[in-house]
Amino acid sequence: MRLPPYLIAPLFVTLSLSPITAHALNVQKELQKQGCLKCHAISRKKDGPSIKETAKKYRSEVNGREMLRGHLTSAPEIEVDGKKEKHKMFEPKDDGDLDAVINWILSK
Amino acid sequence: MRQIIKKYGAIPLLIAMIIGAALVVGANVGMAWTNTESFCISCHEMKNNAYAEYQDTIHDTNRTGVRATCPDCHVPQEFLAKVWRKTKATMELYGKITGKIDTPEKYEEHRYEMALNVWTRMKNTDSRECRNCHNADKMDPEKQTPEAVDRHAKGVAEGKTCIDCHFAIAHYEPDGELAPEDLKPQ
Repeated sequence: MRLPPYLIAPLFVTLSLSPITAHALNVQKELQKQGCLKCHAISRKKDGPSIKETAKKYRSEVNGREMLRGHLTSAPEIEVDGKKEKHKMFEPKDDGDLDAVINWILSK
Repeated sequence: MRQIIKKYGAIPLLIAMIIGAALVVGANVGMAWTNTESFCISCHEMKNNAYAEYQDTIHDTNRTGVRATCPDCHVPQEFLAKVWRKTKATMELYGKITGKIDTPEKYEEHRYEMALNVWTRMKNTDSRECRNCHNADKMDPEKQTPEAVDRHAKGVAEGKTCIDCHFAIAHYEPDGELAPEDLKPQ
């Protein structure tokens, strides 16, 4: 089947703006750069829980994805060694970056 | 010495001194040359993996531009330890020639083993290469966050060394069971 030429341009624009467009962010590198991996390792415990533990926790919640988004972007109060402190906020360049990070964490 | 000079003249002695000095200078120049980032990349299988992972981390790019390059973390500064480490590292060149880790898949397959080697070395030396730049006695608590002050105090009280907490900050974390804190110094 051949598409009429007048449909090709609008279809191209629609596809390139759609949310299924691959996001090129290297999440692990970005987390490293923003200092997240100072306190979190992927499968080992540091001062914070491992990324795998975090993923397990949020995957088990009904609204886990949104809860994780809130945790990453709102600097909630956390407890480390019995002391309360503010969790460092993840600073995405755009929503796509944040989605990529959330997807990556939940996939662990 | 006088007898030798009398017998052979001063020229052989002078030649020996020049050769000796050339060897010392040559060894130092060679050692410095093999301790550069570009030299490491030219011989070890690291450009697209370990080095790419390191780029943009805090040890590569930061506010002041002071960098810790490959040898700062992986080669001792003390002469004999440095020579011994470099001698052992030549074994890795065999891996480079035979293509032991020349694809991303092969690299991942060996990542844990390589990380364990580095972690073990750091545990055995109380993270000596970290301490070449980071002097715990000169850390000013006034300039650290309160969280960092607490965590360093806790680490010291628990007998931990740098790598126990600061692993996987310059290269990606490997899959595997053990963490640096599980490894006992030998």
